[in-house]
Amino acid sequence: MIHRKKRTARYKIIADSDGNRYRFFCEASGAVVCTTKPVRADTQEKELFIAWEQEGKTYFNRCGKCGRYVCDTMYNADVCECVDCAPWEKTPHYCKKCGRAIPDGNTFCGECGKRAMYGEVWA
Amino acid sequence: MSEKLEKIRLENMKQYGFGVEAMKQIKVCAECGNSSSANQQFCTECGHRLPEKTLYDTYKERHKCCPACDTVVTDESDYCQQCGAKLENNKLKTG
Repeated sequence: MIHRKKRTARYKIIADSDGNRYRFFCEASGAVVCTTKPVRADTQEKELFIAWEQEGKTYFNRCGKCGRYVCDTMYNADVCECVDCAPWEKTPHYCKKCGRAIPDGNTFCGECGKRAMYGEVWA
Repeated sequence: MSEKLEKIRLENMKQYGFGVEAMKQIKVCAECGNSSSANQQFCTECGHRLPEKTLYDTYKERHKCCPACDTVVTDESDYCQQCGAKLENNKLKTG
């Protein structure tokens, strides 16, 4: 029994002879991520719940900052945020704060103490 | 992390559909949401003309870029982490 609305990725309903299929979209790119098997339930809300919980959400990643559901391509797995909230960072050669060279393997800048990669998102 | 390990990391990410190299390969149809290869002009699902921009192009437009080496940088960066160039505050690369 659903007592409150749970959020899902943006979706579209596609009628099928065996029920309704739910097509879920990445909330960052707009790409189709998955189209579920047909589901049937008493209400559309219950159908959505079943489609999302049993199938749809397994294909998504939830951004830890904005909460949007995004596909793998739009997800920065290093920091568990979407790429809009946290662009990818490669191994740094220079400190983003003071510009000093960072030797390979250093986690922090020796000059200003700033974390070499990803800053505040990593506690 | 050495350059070699970084390269392996990036290759693995691409293989699993993560990262900028994966974004460079994909265009999304504005009409139906189907993902297509970056070198296609029309959506194979609905026939609609695909956008010129790949997911990577859109990603670059949403972030600050280093004017010297074109690396996407975080908004709070004062210097480019790859080439060390000083970045102007709140300067966004215009697309």
